[in-house]
Amino acid sequence: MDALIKDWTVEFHSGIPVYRQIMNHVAEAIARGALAEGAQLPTIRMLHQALKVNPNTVAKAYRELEHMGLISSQRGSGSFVAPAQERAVLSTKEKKARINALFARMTAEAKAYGIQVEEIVTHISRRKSHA
Amino acid sequence: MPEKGALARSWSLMEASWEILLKNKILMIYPLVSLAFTAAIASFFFGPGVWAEEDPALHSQPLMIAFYLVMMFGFTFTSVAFCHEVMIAFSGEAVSVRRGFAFARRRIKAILLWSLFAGLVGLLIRNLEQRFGIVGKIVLRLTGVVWSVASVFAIQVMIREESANPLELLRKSSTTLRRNWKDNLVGYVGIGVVSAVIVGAFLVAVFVGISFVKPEMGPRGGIALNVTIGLLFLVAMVLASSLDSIFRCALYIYASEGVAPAPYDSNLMDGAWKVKKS
Repeated sequence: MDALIKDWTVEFHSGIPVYRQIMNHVAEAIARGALAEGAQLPTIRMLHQALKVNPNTVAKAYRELEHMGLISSQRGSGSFVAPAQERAVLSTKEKKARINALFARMTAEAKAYGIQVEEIVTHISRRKSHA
Repeated sequence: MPEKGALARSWSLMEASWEILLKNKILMIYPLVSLAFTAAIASFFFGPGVWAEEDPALHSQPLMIAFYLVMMFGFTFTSVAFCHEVMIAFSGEAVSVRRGFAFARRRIKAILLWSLFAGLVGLLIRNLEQRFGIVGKIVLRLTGVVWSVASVFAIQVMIREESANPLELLRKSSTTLRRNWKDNLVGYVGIGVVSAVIVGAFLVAVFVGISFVKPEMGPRGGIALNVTIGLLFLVAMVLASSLDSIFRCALYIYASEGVAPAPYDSNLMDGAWKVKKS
């Protein structure tokens, strides 16, 4: 849990709402295995204090992640990374929609940093060939 | 949910701000400190002895500029302290006057530079307005509106960002605004509709009060009434401006984080702007 929070900062004026940045960060940590199945997420209070954001913002990010099937919240005990089987129940259409949304967010963020879409494509191809 | 009218929307937003103020009454100390600062600075600049020796015309303009800039600094300093604590209040935590001012002290460089920058822009617009004809006046008035909209979140950006560069603060304030409400904004309304109603009600109360003054009450009755009206007016103004500042902090959180803080309703936040009719 500490590893997730360590060095995590949010950008308030990037054009990506902070709750989306939180969602992306957690989703990414789950995808690369930094957050294992069943791992507990920081509490809303802990994360709002660490990131200096409003608690409603963290709560909304967690609600959305839960809706996506990535995490599950248990009243009184916190939020946990959902088992992989639960995440796999997405239909192909839903998976494509999520990848599209991810791409839209990535291009918006790249635009905010002044990075061209072509550069991202090159970067992805390079990573793919190294993999 | 049926769409609310401007007054109902403004009223709901004012109620939410009022709730925050009632839960954190200590926040009222900030506008009172700002008022005391204004009074102290005014007495320093315009008190007895300032004009005594030389021709006042020689010094009036530089003195007014200095007064204006010092006032800007005092206002920005207390606003940064106030908004810092309002943002903490939105998290449901206890507010503190000492912590607010300590934070403002840490951001003193940014506050100084912003006060100077915003003060000079304000002075420039006002000065040019006086020199040009009606068309120039209209253009400059519009520039003034654009400036006030673009800088609407400058104080809040100053709290969240380390940068002390006023141009950077202005850029971040205006981009936060544009990304959320695009380019159709033509002005900030805030909770102005309710404020206008409150001021209207206040004026009615003043007229009713005046009608109660009888000649047999003598000059003391008139003085007492004037003092009461003056104090009530001051209280109303301080309250209205505090409520608007609280709302502006909520609006900034909504714009930058994508979620309205409690007790505000996200559906009502867009009503804070005057939008270009298509």
